[in-house]
Amino acid sequence: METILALRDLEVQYYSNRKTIRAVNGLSLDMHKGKVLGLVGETGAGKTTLALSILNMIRAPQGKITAGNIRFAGNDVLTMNKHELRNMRGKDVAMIFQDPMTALNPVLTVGDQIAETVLRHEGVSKEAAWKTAETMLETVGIPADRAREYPHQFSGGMKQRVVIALALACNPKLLLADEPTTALDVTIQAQVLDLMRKLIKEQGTSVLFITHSLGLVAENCDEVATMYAGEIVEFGSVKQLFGNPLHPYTKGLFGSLPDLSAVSERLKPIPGLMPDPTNLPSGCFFSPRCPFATEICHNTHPVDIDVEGHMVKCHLYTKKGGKA
Amino acid sequence: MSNTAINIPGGTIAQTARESNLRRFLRRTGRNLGQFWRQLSRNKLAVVSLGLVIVFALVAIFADFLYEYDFVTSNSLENALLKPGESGIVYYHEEDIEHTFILGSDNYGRDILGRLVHGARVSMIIGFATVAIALMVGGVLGAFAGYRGGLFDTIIMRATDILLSIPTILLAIAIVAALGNSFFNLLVAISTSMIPGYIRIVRASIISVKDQEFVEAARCIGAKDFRIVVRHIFPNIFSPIIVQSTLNVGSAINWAASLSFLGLGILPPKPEWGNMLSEAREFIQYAPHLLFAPGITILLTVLAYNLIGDGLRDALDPKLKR
Amino acid sequence: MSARSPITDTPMTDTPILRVKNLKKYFHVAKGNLHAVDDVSFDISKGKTLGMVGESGCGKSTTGRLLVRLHESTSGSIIYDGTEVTSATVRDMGMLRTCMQMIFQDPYSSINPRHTVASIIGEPLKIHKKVHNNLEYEERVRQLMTTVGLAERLYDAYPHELDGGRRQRIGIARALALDPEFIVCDEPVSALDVSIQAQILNLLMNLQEKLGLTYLFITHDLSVVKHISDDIVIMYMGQIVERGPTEELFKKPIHPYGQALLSAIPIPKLNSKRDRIILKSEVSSPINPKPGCRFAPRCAYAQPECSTADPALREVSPGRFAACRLAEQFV
Repeated sequence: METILALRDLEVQYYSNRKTIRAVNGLSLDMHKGKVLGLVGETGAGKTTLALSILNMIRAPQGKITAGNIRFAGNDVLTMNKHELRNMRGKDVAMIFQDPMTALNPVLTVGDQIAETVLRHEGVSKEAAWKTAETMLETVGIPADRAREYPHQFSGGMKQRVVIALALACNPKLLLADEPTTALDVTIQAQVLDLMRKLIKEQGTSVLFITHSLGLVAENCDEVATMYAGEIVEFGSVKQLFGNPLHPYTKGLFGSLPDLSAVSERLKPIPGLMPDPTNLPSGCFFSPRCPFATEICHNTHPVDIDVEGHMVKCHLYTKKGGKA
Repeated sequence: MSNTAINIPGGTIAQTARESNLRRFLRRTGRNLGQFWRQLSRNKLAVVSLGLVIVFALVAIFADFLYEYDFVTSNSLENALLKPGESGIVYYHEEDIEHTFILGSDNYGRDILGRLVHGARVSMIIGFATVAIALMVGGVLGAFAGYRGGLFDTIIMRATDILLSIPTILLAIAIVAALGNSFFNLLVAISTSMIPGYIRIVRASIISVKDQEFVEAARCIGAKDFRIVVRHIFPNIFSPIIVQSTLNVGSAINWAASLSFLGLGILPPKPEWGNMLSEAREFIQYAPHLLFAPGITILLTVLAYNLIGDGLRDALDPKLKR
Repeated sequence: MSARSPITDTPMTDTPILRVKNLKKYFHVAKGNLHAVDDVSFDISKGKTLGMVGESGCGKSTTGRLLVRLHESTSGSIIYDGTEVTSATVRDMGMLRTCMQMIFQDPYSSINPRHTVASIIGEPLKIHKKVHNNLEYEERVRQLMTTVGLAERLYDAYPHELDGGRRQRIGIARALALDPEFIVCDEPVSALDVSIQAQILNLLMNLQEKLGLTYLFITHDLSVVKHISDDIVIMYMGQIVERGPTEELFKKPIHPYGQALLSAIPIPKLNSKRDRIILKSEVSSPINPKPGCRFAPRCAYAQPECSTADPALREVSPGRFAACRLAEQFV
């Protein structure tokens, strides 16, 4: 499998009131060409920070990528100059944000917004760019004659379609979708995801699908990474991770979800709270909440362990024949 | 801590509980103040300004100990237009006294520093009194308009618009001109011109808070309108009002000086920064210090209040907390 | 809008603690009347949970607010334990408030940021003079904090020091302060992360068991509603389109909208691929809605007659109600 994006030992910190917020902590992740990778985690796990880092959009002085490297299609993103970055963003790597209301410019027509992106990255004529914009809108199920309308004239689901059209207009190699349907109703979510699935399959785009919903991952992704306190704690194919979740946190997430097919009396939530990113616990970050935590978990930070091609960052699997 | 109180016999139970409540209240207030001060102290300019304002306030309060009022208002023409630091013999209380004029003297031989000190008192009183009056009237009207809405709101807001369409200083001049020249009328003039600002800010803050879920929650547990406004809404609109008031104290001092400068406020020989400036105009060529002394004092005071206002705005913003 | 069949008035089971009949709420907006809640009738039995689901803007939150009278209804009646809520006097309302409470959606805006945990939880006690001295007050507040699983050391804490889950616990404790029998839960877990969501759901279920509470549980999250509810009503554009016992309704929804809604739930399991019904277009405007079935423009089974008259909510099979002309063919 060809690797399109490789993150190695990435560390991102934010600074506020003399406190250091450790948002991403030594994270390594590979994304494979043409695959959809689901990134699951709760609020504050560092999912959005990760996506912004890939575009090198962490702004000083509030935040900084303090260590590690990011290689996109073989190029080091962190050493790119402004010009190279601008070319990469929007063309090779596109991003869909959670809230379609803020992702669109309210004073430009949706057609103009798409055409502008095409114009900047593809070097075509104005007419051709507008034509592309109309085609893209039709692809996402919006009649071409609505291209001259402004974002406020569209409903929430339609706006998110516009955002998708905007993101896919330049045939990006990588799409970062940050909770693309969280703001939408379920029936609209089904519409939008249905469309997204079709388009990325056609274009062969690789997708980083950031979500807090395991259900959406099961239905839309090929691979899954579970993120906790700025780390990937488990990584595997959807089959591996849903068939046999290894990390206690992933197991906890499954236990927290109501099961639609069975009558369960009570859920089994994970006790406690996400750790404070300004004051992370020693040892494994999950150890204070982990029902299986032992001495070593509280003292030593676990390393990635390969259990039959299924990566997990947990001491429990050290002895069980996994190799570090 | 209450569990131990249960063992105390009869009458003292309530008292113990009350004491612990008081202690808790003090601890909580202390914690809040500490947090507030930590926020404010990040803004060095605001801290310096606060220091300056406190010094001015102390000077205003203890003005009589520094210079006697009669002394700074009585003429001694032989000492007219002394340079800063020069001394002269003043005939005061039927005695000749050797006196050093630290900031020099004016054309009537009056001590400029002394007049500034007593002027500070006038300025402080005007600054705080006008803000207090405007806050009370504007706050109540704005609160009603914002919370009740409807016709009352429309009437109040249109009246406010009309007042706001008249330039502030012009409005103040018109009021003083109509009512006559007195200290009280000056207060009325300045506070009237500040009222529309308060109505708007209180109304806008109330509207932004009153539709939040915690207000609905309060109604849901049976809280009456009065309680909702006083206990739930007011504490949440406190900070914009404090900030506005701090800025307004500066403006009020400025306006009082302007009106006095124009001869519509406090008239000489009463010491006031604006009328000192006005009198000094004639001597700008031979005695510029007459102009600089009140000018710089006004500038520093107004600037200090504005900087404190900015500092408070940041320190009171809950988004910046922690 | 038109008169509904009287069959909707039959109680579902046992003794209803709350009976809602033909409830309507129209908001006047610039373009006309917004039909937020349009002729809704349902009962809730004592000690049970009625789940109310629907998408944003379907009127579920407005219905909840009408029940506790945070909004005044346009017409219809809400009878709580024999007392008419819509026309209750100030004094009666005070009584009703001690029986009916509400838990709000947003744990960040539903508690006053300037009050301490104790004063938020204890405020209902003070308003209704349920305690006689400070000691009693403090003890009751601490007891409530324990009930909802808040550490007592948070007594003097301010909300901004706490996370969403703990804030929601404060909201629950406040609702419990007056020992209510009935609580409207308006999306109480929607703003929370899954692991915290599970903690709060368990808490609500434990409280129901322990205190015999009755819930109206409003949510857009279908897996949550399935987990907690005994019965479910599905709302669409201000109207109830389907009603029935949870298990049966999830096994086989009758109304075409119910079918589409349930098929759209993402399931966190392998190989759970079902026949997903992808609806066309989006919800039409609730302002001065056209007559006829409101779902007809999006419905795959719609026929011309569907757009002429409002379909009544009727009992299609025992215990199962649907507002669809063609309901029989889906049973």
